[in-house]
This record gives sequence, structure tokens and C-alpha cells, in this order.
Amino acid sequence: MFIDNILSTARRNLTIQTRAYPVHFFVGELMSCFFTVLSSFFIYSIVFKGKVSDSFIRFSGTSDYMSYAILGSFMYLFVVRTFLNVSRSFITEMREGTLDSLLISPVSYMGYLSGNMLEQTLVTTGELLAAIIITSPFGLKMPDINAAAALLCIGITLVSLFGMAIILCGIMIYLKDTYLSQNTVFSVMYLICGITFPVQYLPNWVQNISNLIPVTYSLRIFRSSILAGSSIASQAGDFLMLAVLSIIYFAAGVLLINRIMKKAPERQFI
Amino acid sequence: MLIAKGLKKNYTSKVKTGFLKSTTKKVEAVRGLDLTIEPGSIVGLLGLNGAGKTTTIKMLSTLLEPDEGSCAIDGLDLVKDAFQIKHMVNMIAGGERMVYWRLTARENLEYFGRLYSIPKEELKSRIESLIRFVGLQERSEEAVEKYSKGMKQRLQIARGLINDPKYLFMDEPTLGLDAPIARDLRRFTKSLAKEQGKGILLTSHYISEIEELCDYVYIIDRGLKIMEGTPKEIASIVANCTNKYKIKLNVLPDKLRGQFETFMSTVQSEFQLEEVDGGIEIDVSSHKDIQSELISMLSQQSKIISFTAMEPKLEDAIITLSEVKNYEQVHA
Repeated sequence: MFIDNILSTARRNLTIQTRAYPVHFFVGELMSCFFTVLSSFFIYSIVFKGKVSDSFIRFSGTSDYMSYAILGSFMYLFVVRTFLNVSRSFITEMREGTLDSLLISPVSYMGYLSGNMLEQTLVTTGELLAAIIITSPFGLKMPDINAAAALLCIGITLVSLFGMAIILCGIMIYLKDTYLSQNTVFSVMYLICGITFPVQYLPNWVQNISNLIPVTYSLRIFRSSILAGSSIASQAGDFLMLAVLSIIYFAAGVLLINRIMKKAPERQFI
Repeated sequence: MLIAKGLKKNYTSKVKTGFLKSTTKKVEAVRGLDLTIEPGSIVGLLGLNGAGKTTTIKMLSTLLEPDEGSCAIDGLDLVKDAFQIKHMVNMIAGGERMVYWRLTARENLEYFGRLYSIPKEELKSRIESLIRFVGLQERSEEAVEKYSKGMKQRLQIARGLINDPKYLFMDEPTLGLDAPIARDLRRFTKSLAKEQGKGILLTSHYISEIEELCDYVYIIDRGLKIMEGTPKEIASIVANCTNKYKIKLNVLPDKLRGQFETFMSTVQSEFQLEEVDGGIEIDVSSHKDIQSELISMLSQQSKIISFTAMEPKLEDAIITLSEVKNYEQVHA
């Protein structure tokens, strides 16, 4: 039943996406990724004349800033698209008037959300391939990629994003808001998780917050695996932190969603 | 059998009182409701807007958890056995929602069917028969957003039947439907109960609908049951509630006026007199059917130019019953 819920929900979403795919949204996401890379390129080539400081090399482990920024923007695209769409799923049902028909059925909340996550991961992977093509002129170099470490990083990151998405989903239903909640979360993550610069440049207290967000570790592992070819063993500490945070967020999400969804039909009235 | 006892549901909402100030407001949506639905019967739930009908239906369909009270459906507890109960009940609401507009009718039914874990082959044949049943065969492969309001409503009915529920809760199902479609839906509802043995709870604003379909009726107001009985009993109350007459006479001599005022006082009815071009117009409002008495009295000493009797409305009956209930509570 759980698997059936996952597959049927993913299939339903894919059908809707292919039938009424919001092309402008797709273009908007790609352009956002493109402009992030473009602005990094301008800052790097015009302001810093193509040179990075020693501290950047020390913090990031690379002197190739453009590859650093491109990988950061890819990860951000992945984070936003999966995290955003999964977290919005129930409130979208509420707004479109289908929440009652969904909740009256014996649907598994986790099965439903997993189905959304599965579909969104597939769609975002496609978008990422397009993003790789449009950002290729900026010169992403992967001289010594460690595929096993990168794939494991993506796998654990998906679990953490899923957990965070469930929590945000609960918050959205409770506050009956999508715009403020999601934009606040994404702006903060963009600023403090090391999308375009190492988190070590941030004040200590901000770094402490960023260390509580799994994306910070995902980015560090992802870049290190792709740009420096670091192995899983050499990044064991970061992998462990990412895994622990993923479990914590996932468990918190599971506990929260059952409580919130019990009250969700009521939230429609009040 | 569905047996609900003392169901209560309160909502607490925040009311903004200033820029950063708000207070909480508690609304008692349902206040201790008892009701019973037997398999094969259609039970009506009547009430004005805000009476608690939708909240009651949402509680019975497991969407909302009651704050107090209990409900057993075929021996299963509404709260503890919610998962099993979800397989036995379904809800159809008025309006065009509750289905995915970007999917086709068939895709909608497939999706909901899979949520109920209906085996593939069984689901396929059930979808075919439901699509045929609601008359959407020719448009079943079209996206729902292209459907008319009536078609969307018919699809919603099919969705509500996808799990072959033993108990079906219909919340204003004919709301906004064209008369022929509403008639078909009523016929169909009757067949679900009488031929397929489903227990149906129906809310409606239309007394004629209730009279035509229901075996038993509950009337609720502000979350409280104010009356229950057969449609015949309810109809008789409605008939005695706020009959309105509009009468036009050519003259109203003083003697007749005196007789009229005395009669109105005797039957505890209200009236308004107005002089208009070519006569006198009288608006009468009475809790009793006094049509024949009025005609007989007025026609003896005056000429009745026109006499219009307005059919009493269910709303009037509910308001009257509610006033009586309030009066009884205050003077208890």
C-alpha cells in the first residue's frame, strides 16, 4: 500500500507536469541558476581579476572558483526544486480543494510525500542536465571526480531534503502560508550554506547555524568529491554529520506531519 | 449501522485586533449531536449556514476528530479504527472541487482507486462502470478543467463511489446544479440506498429534496439538534411556519378592518397595511395556514383583487424552531 501510494502519486504528478508543464517556471529556475553562475563569474573575473585569495583555497580546498560556484548553484537548484515542491504539496491540495478527497482516503502521508519527492527528483534531474548545458561556457572542471562519494552524498542529501521538506510542509499548513515561509528558508540557505562562498567567511554565530543545516555538509562533500576527488573515508566526518542531521530532520518531519495533518482539514476553516 | 452519540467539535481561531495583536475565538461548531444511519436508508441533515452540517459530515468521514462524543460505524470506533473506516465511507460535496482538474476523469478515478489499494483489474472494471454510471463515457479522456460544472460534479460522485462505500455522506450535492442534473442525482442517490443498501447522510437546503429522498431527518442549528423526525413530520412543521400572504383589496371598510385585526390577533399573526393606487395592500405573516379563513372573511365585505400565498421555506421553519428552542432554554 505504501509503495502503491508512492508510485501512484509520482505518476499522477508526472502526468500533470507533462500535461501542463509550467515552461516559464522551468525557464525561470534555469535562469536563476544561470544568473547565479553569471554573477559569480563577473565578481570573479572583474572584481577579483580571476584570482582567489589564499583563505578561499584553504577554506574550499580549490582554486577553481567558477567550478566551485557552478557546483554550488547546481546544488541550490536541486535543493530548491525538491525541497520547495515537496513542502508545498499538501498546502497546494488545500488551495485546490482536493485535500479533503485525499485525506478521506486511507492515504499514507509519508507515501504521498515520498511520491512527490520521487517525481520531483526525476524532474529536477532533468532540469539539472539542462543547467549543466547552459552553464558549460563558464568552464566547470571535474579533473578527479570520486563518483561513489558524490552519489552517496546525493543519496543522503535527498533524505535530509525530504525531512526538511516535511517540516516546512507542516509549517506551511499551520501558518497557511507558502510565500513567506519558503522564501525565508531559501534566502537563509542561500546566504549561509556556502552556495557561492565558503561558510568560514561568515561570523561564528552564523556558522553555528549553518552547521545545523544538512545542505552545508552536502555542498562541502559534493564539491570535494567532484573537484578534489575526495573519497568517502576521507570525508567520514562530514558524511557522519550529514547522516545524523538527515535522520534528525527526517524523524522530526515524520513526527510532525502526523500531528499537523490531523489538524489540516480544520486549518481550512480557520 | 452508524451510531453517533454526543458529538462535539470546537474550532479555535485567531482574530486580528491590531497590527501585532490578536485574540483567540472559540467557535462551538457541533454541540453534542446524536444521530443514527441505518444501511439502506437516507438520512437528512438540515440546517442554516453555520449550523454544523459540514463539520458533522467531516467528523463522520474521519476528516475531523471529534472533541467529545463517540461514533461507531458497524461496530468500529470512528477515531481508533479510522483507517478501516476510511475504506467504508466516502463523501461527496457540492461544487466543483475534490478532483484534480488537470487529470482526466479516468486518471482521477485511477489515482483515488489506487489510494484505496483496489486490485488493478477490479479497479479497471469499477472505473468503467462508474464512468458509465455518471454518463461521462464520451469525455472520460479529457482533462477535467474542460468540463462543465455539472460534469465535474458527476465526476465527483464517481470519485465518492470509487471505494464502493457502505456509508456515503453527501454535503449539498445538488448545489449549483441544473435542474435536470439535480433530478438525475436525486434518482441516483435513491438507487444507491434502496438498491445497493448504502447508508446515506444528505445535507441540503432544499426541503423538496429532503422530502423526496430522506427516510429520516435531523434539523440542527448552531451545532445543536433542534428536531428530528420523518420528512412528513418536518414538512408539517414547515407548513405551519411563516406562511406569507399578499392580498390586494379594492376597499377595507372600518368594520372589516376591525374584524380582520381581531382575527389576526386571535391567530397570533402579523400584518402590514398599505394604501396603494386603486386599493389596499395587506402583507400577512402567520405560523398557521389561514388562507381559507382570510379569503372567506375578506371577500364578504370587499373585493379581493389579488391573493398570493407564498410557500413557507425551510429556512423559516428552522428559524422558528431555533427561536422556540432558545426560548425554552432561556425559560427552563
